[in-house]
Amino acid sequence: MTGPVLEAEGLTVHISTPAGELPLVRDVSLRVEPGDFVGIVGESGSGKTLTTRALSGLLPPGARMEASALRFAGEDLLTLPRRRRDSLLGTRLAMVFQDPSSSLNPARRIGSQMVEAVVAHERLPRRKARELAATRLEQVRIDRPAQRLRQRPHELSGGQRQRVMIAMGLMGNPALIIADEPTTALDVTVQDEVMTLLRTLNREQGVAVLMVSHNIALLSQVCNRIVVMYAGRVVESGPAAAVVGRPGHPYAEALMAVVPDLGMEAGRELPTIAGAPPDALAPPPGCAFAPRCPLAVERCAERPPLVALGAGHAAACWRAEERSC
Amino acid sequence: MLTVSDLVVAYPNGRVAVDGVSLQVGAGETLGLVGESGSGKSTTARAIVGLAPVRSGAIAVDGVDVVGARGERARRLRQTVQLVFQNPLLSLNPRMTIGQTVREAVGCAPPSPGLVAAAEAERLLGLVGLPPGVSDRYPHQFSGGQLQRVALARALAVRPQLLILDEVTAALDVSIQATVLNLIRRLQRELGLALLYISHDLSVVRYMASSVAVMRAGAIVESGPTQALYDAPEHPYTQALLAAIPTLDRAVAS
Repeated sequence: MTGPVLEAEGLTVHISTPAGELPLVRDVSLRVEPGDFVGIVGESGSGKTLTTRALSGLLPPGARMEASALRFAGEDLLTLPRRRRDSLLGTRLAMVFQDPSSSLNPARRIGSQMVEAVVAHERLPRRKARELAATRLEQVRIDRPAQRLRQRPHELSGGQRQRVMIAMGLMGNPALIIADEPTTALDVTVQDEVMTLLRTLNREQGVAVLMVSHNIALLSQVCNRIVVMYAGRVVESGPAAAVVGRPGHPYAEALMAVVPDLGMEAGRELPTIAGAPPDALAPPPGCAFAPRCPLAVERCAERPPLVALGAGHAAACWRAEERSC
Repeated sequence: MLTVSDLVVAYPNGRVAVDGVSLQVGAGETLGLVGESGSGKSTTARAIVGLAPVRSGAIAVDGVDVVGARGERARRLRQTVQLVFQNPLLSLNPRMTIGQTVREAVGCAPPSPGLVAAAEAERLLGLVGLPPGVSDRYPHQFSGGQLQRVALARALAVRPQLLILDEVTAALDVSIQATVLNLIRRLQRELGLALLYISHDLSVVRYMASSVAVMRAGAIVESGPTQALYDAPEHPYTQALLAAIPTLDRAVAS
């Protein structure tokens, strides 16, 4: 495949509430190239999850999206007929959610859940699909795959369930895995296993990954690109090393400072981000981060555009250039 | 403050969840109890407050044996030791306002002259950093970090000397986690609390605790002063836990 795996321009998602329509994701542009491992980082309510739901066609009822462009695996999702779009997303896009126990059906066996999509979308015979499912389980290092297919989710541990979710995503030969906080519900060592698995799939099989997390330290270990979201907008994006090493936006810097670090002096007050994210009903007119920002100046009452700081690195801050040099 | 000796917790089905755990928390001190899901750390916490079946061993709170405590002894235990859980949405009553929840807990404390429950509840909610005027709101109207503050206010209502905090920040964003950790440390300083801080996250425990015990499969595999244990972990399991912490430094180096 040539060209990006996923390309979104001007993505906006509105949610209807009793108080009217709220734009919770605003003007987000995003690109995932083949082989990319892209991370989206932000606090709860930053719009990062809603963005991935919009990209994958899984918006909740009451949500409406618009975009000036939305392309996936070479197809235009905005004009593709519904059936073909569902079939494309159902096979080439894999979703991994935060809580594997609530995204697997507790009453059905692993095998029957795993084969569902390929039987529906690719009309694969059920027997062939089960063989494929066993191969995929093996690939995510689940032992005794044939036996696992007959088990139900409660018979597996949390880490195993998450690997089953990933294996399920691999059934359709995906071009992209979207993983939304895939390890938040898991122990640190299991988190390590799941991250290693995603990285292996990315490096060895070239599957692109788009991963959402609130922990920038976790993303910085696996991603080649990082996108920082705040109050529904992209405030910084760039190569992971640049965003981590020379952040252009004070919010990106603040997100790094709050991660407890083994090198930090124990017993010191942990850095925090003052204040709270803005009320979605009444976002501040200018830079949404300005009320919490230690570097805010008068000009921040006006919304800053994304300005380029280096190759593929941009930040939406009036002071980004002066800070990065 | 708390002394646990050779604690064994076994369920009626014969499963042994905690197998010979001993630990100590001095007054005003913090012990970090670290381990993964299923290691028995939460069961240990539950046994201390009488919520898990103790097969053998001793648990002394303030020098008083509390195993199988009933009646007055149990009441005194609950006033001395309070437990805060991971998910405040599940541990707070959704049909009570947070003011009612905290007032109810204030009513369980030993009576104190001149204390008005409503005013005390307001004071506690202020103490944990909630803005004034929120006491007639319901749990669903708060964010996760704020709810954890409510849970702390409720736990503090009976003026306990020991708080057991079971994965209290595991469900929170890292940015919110930092503010809750700072709050817990401030409360500890101001109120002279002893803490048993339970977590699977060694980077958080290092920040919170002066000493650490690492649990695996129902037993403590390594324990000691925090700095020493982090500088030279001896048990392979402790080493694995330390290696699994995502840090920014590692990323920049690679």
